[in-house]
This record gives sequence, structure tokens and C-alpha cells, in this order.
Amino acid sequence: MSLPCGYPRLAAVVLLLGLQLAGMPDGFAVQKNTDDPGAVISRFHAALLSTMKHAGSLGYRGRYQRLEPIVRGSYDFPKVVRVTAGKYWRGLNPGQREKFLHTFSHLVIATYAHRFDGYSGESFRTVSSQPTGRGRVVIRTLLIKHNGGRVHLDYLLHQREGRWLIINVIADGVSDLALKRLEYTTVLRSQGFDALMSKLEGKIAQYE
Amino acid sequence: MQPISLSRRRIRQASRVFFGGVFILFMLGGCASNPPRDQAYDPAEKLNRGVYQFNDIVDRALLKPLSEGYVAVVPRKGRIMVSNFFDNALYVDTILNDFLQGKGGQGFADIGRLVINSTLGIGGLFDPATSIGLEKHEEDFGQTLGVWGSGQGAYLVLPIYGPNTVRDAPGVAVSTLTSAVFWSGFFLNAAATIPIAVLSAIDLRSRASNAIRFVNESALDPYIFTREAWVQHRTFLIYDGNPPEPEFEEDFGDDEDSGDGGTSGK
Repeated sequence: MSLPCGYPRLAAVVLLLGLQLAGMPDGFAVQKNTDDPGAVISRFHAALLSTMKHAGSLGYRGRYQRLEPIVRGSYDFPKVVRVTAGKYWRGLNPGQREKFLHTFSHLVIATYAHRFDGYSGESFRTVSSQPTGRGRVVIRTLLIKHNGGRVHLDYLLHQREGRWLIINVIADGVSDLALKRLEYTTVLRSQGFDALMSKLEGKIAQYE
Repeated sequence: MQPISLSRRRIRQASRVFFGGVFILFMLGGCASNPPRDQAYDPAEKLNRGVYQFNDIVDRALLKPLSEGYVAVVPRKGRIMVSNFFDNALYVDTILNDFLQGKGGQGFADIGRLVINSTLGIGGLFDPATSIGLEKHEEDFGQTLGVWGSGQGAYLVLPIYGPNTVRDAPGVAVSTLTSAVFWSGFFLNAAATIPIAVLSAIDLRSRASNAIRFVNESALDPYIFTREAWVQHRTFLIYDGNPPEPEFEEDFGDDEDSGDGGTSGK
């Protein structure tokens, strides 16, 4: 008797989601008005790798501080937060929206700082760049592990005020944004906004 | 203990039950309407959550400690050999489904992989095939049914085996029936097969441990997280990494508000 390979496959996917939870920071050139979404991703991957390589000496705090400006500058948090709240966004007042944005972005950076805690020979390769309808772009890349295993990472970017920003990461077919939206709207529906905030804050506390 | 005798009658009976079951499940899967939705079709959610809880308890009580002990005791190279062995022992399943899906070229390549790893790789303990370009593929009967057009069907959590769907569940049987470890049970007695089966479970569990920890840490609702990730990943596998347009495309059109952050409202 033997078990089918369900869990290890899922394992590779969710582990990758952990690595890619927040989308890609814009490397070292946050101010630059990037016209090329592919370059945004390449720079991000370079920044990611360099953080991984110094992960130990930086420690959690160091990684958080190093990643924060990059993540904030490259990811369209206001857009993502709106999408994760789904139809409940409409019912939130400005104070709540601000809190949601603040807590969510804090959680994303904390997750990065927590998860990127080492390096063992990983590398990234950009495979293709395709425009989608509605002026967005999908950059398909591969994360190649030292043992040759590969994970597909697709980034969805859009333009806001001339800058390309990431709005979703899809790891081996699993959409990070879809998952978050489902989780958050479920909590918003059954337990309300404050419960969602305290759950997110609980997660942050867990990492710090 | 005596090995089970492989009488022709028994094989015929087992085949009938198996294919009959597959047919029924296939029809159920195909007939299960998949209405447009933003989450997986999960009509048996309450029951599934119960099984998920059960699996979690078994995991914490049994599989997790065993797997941690395994990792502590067996060096990494040894664990890689174990993983290679079980991947190889299950590989007939992939080969079979390569051909069932019409992927002849991949099927022959996978036969090559199996032969090389079983011989040069000493019974599957090593993986020389990857280094000469015969990489590992992942096909199973659930994907085959998907390629043949079956809808996913309802989400199911199976005891111990974990996430599945009405379409994919028969794949568990196919995987088992094509497994070298399973067939060895007819020739070895229980004193050998039970430890092998347990080792297989521990091997899978230790490979999945990072992911399980990640799900439990990050997910607000691990059950939903696991379900959605599983279902999306299955679709990805069926399309061999080229699923249709990222599913979220339409949903971004949902901008109702204006005036925050300078985005043009819709």
C-alpha cells in the first residue's frame, strides 16, 4: 500500500506561496519610473536573493527593515486590499479602510521577513511576458531549486500613474489573491471587520 | 501469514468492482455541475471539515512525531533515497496516464526514466534519469479524467489521504493498483509490507512538513486554504502549467469606489 502524492505536491505549492506571498519588490530602484514590467520582476528577484543570502546576519528585524521600502514601493497595496475585501469594501468607512491597508501591508512585509530566512542555491528565471486584456501584463517565471525542482511563478502587474506594480502572484496555478479574498470575505461575512483585523494582527504577532 | 493467492476469479472481480466504481465516479464527476463561482464546489463542507479535523488529529498524534523522528534519525541523503524509491515505485501510474492522455512522447520518455532509475538507479534509490534530461512528470488518473473532459466534481477530504475531488478520487485506486509497493504485498508477508507502507507515509509527511506548517501559520482558515490551493493546483496540473487566463482577471473589474489612492474609479 502506498499513499498517493497529494500532500507533497500541495506542499511545493503552498511553500512557494509562502515565499511569494506579497509579490515582488522593485529591487533597488524604487523611484525609477519603470516602463518594463519584466525589469520590475528581475530587479525584485535580485533583491529577494540578496536578502536570502544575508538572511542569517540580518535577522528578522533586519530583513523587515530591508524589505519594507522595496515591498511598499512595488506592490499595489491599495488595490490588493480592495480586492481581498471583495464586496465588503463598499461597506467600510475611511477609518476602517485605512486600518485594513495598514494592517495588511504590515502583515505582508512581516511574512516576507519571516519566511526569507535562508538561502540554499535557489535561482529565478524569467520565461515570458504577455499582455493580457485590460492593459495588464503577466510575467511568467520559474523558481529553480538546487535539486532541479521548479516552481512556476506568474506575476500579474498593472500600471498606476506610469509605474508597473504587482497585484497578484500565482504559484503553480494557485492564486495568492484568490486565496486571500476567499479567506477574508469569509471572515468579514461571518464575524465582521474587527474580527478580521484581530486575526491579521495575531498573525503578525506570531511572526515578530 | 500467507500471501493472498492471485486467483483469476479474484482479479476479474476486483477489476469489475474497480472499473464499475470508476465509471460511476466519472459520471458523477462529469454530471456534477460546476456552476461559476469564486470558490471550489464543496457541497459536503461540513462533512469534509470533520474529516479534515480527524486527519489533523491523526497527523499531530502520529504522523508528525514519526516524521520528526525520521528526520532526526535519518540523514538527508538517506531520506532522498527513500523519496526516490517511492517516487519510482509509483511511476507506472504516471506512465499509464501519459498514454491515456495521448502524451505518447512523454510516455516513452517516462518509461525510459523508470527503467534507468530502476536499473542504474539501483531499484529507484537514485535518480540518474533527471541528470540526463528525463525529468519527473506528474500525471495521475484524476488529471486524465480532467483531460477527458470531466468536471472537477465535489471536493472531498478522504481520511488520511486528504484533499481530493469526486473526479480525482479514483486516481487513488489507480495509483495504488499500479504501485510496486502494493504488488509486493502479494509476495512479501505483512511483516515486510507494513513497515514499507508506514515508511511511505512518513516520507510523504516529512516532505510536506514545511507546507503543513505554513498552512497552519498563515491561513486564517486552514481548511479553506488547503481546499482552494488544492483545487487550483489540480487545474494547473491538468493544463500542464498553462491554465487559461489567470482566473482573477475578471474580478479586478470590481472597482466600485473612487477617490482613494488616485486610481481612476470605474
